[in-house]
Amino acid sequence: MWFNAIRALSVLACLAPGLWLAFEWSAGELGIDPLARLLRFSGLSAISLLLVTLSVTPLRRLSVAVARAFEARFGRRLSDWNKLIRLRRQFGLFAFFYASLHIGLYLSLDIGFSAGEFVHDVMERPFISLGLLTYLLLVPLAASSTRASMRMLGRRWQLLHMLVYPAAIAAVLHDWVHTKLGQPLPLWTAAVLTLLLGARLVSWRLGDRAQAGEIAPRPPQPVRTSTTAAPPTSRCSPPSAASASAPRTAAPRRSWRPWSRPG
Amino acid sequence: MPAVRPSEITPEALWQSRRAVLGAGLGLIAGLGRPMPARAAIAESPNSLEQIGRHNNYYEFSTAKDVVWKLAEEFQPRPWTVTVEGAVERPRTWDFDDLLKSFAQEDRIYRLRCVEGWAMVVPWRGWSLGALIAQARPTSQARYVEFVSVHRPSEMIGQRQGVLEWPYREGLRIDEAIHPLTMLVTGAYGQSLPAQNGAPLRLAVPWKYGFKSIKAITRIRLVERAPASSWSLAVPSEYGFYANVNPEVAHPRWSQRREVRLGDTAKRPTLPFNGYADEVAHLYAGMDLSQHF
Repeated sequence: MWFNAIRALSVLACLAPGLWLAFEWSAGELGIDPLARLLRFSGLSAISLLLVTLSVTPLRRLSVAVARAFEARFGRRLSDWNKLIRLRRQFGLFAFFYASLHIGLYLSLDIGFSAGEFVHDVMERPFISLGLLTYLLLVPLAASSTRASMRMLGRRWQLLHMLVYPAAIAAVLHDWVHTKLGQPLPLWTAAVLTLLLGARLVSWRLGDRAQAGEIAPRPPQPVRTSTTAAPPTSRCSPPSAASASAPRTAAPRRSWRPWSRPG
Repeated sequence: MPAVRPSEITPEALWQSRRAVLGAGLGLIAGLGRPMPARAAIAESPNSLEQIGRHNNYYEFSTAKDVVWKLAEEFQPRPWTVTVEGAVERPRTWDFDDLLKSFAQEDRIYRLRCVEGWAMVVPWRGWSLGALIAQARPTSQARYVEFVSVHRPSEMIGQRQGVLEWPYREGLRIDEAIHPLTMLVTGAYGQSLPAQNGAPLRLAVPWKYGFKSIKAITRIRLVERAPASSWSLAVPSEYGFYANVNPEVAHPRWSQRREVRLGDTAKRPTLPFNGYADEVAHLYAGMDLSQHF
C-alpha cells in the first residue's frame, strides 16, 4: 500500500514537466524565445529522467549495503530501497516520452519536416547527429520494455538494455556540444552521469551482481513424499485416506523475473 | 595581436575607392537628417520593447539572458565619454551629450541576428558611424576600427568572472565602419537606450552576427592592423573577425541556415547578410567567406 502511493506520486512527478510545458504553451507563457524554451525543457526532462533511471541500481545497492551494515552493527533491520526497481521501467519510458517530444519539436518547428534540412543537419552538425544517435539507442529500449519482451529475450534482454549507457553518454555529449561558452548546465549533467557510471563500474569490479542476495530468496520448501499409499492419479480425484494424512506442500516457486532469481 | 594575413589586406580597388566612400560619409554630415536609402528599409514589424529589453546576451551582467535587465539596473550610463583616437588627425574625447547635439539622430528599423540562431527587428535611434569617423579625419594608416567597451566590475557583476576577457572589444574593417548602414545607437523605440541593451552608446552592424554590435562603447580607435575581438580571443575556431550572417557557412557546432524570430515558435530560413546583401555584398567581392567567417 505504501508502495502504491509512492508509485502514484512518481507517475505524477514524471508527468509534471509535460503538463507544465503544455500549460505554458497554451497560456503563451513560453517566454521571449518559445522554441528555445520548448526544446530546452523537453531535453532537460528527458536527460534528467534518464539519469534517474541510471541511479536506481546504485541506490538500491547502496541502501542494501547500508541496511546490512546497520543490521550487523545494531541488530535491527532497516528497510531498504530495493523496490525502486519496480519504478525503473516507468522512469525509462517517461525519459523516452520526453526524448520523443524533444525530437518531435525539432522535426516540426525547427526544420519544418524538411528532409533536405534534416540530412544537412545530421551530416554537418555533430550535436544533431549525437541527438539522433541518442534517440535511436533509446528506441529498442522502449520497445523491449514489456514483460513479453523480457520473457522472449531472456538473458539477451539484459544485454540489450546495456545500451542505456551509450545512450546516456550520447545525450550528455549532445547537450555539451550544443552549449555555448558560459552556460554551466552540461557540466552538471556530465558530473552526475560520471558519478552514476562510476558507481556501476565500481560495483562491477567488486563483483556485485544485481540478483544475488538483494532480495532474500525464498528457501525451497522440502517436498515430503507420502510413505503409505500411492500418490493420487489425478489432482481432481478425491484424496484417499492415506494421502490425506500426508502434508501437502507447495513446490518451490520459480519466478522468471531475473531480479528475484535466487542466486 | 596576430599579424595581418595577405588575404586580409583590403583589395587595392577598395582601398582606392575609400576616399570616395569617405566623401560619401562627409556628404552625410553635410546632409544631416537625410533619410536612409530606401532599399535598406525593411518591411517587417519590430519586436516589442519588452522582447528587446528582456532577452539580452550581455555577459558583463550575466550569462542568463532573462536576468540581464534586472542586473543592469545597477549600471550608471552617465556621465559618459567616448574617445576617438588612433590614426586620425583630430582625436577627441567626446562628452556623450555633445555627441547627441552634434549628430542628428534618426530612427532606423534594423534586423539583428544573433550567432546562436535567434533574431529580432529593432527600431534603433542613432546616426551613421561614418559621420563620426569622418569628423576625426582618419589618416592613410587607418585600415581598421577598434571598439572598446567599458570595464566596471562594480556595476557589472558578470565582469567579476573571466568568461570573456574584459573589457569587451570588437573591430571592423574601415570600409565596413564607414558604410552608411553601420550605426552608432543611442536609443530604441524613440527613447534612450536601456542599460541592458548597451546604454548609452552601442553599435548596430545589421549584416553581421550580433556579437559584432558592441555595447557601452568607450573608445573608438582607428588602427592599421585587424584588432582582436573578445569572442575571437575566447573561441577562435567559432567566432571570426568578419562574422557576416551567412546561411552557407555553418558555425562549427550548429547550423546557420535557420533562425527563430523572437516571439515565433517556428524557425525561418536565414538570409545572406541578414537580408542586406544588396547593400553590403560588394564589400566582400572575391573573398572566400567560408574562410573569412
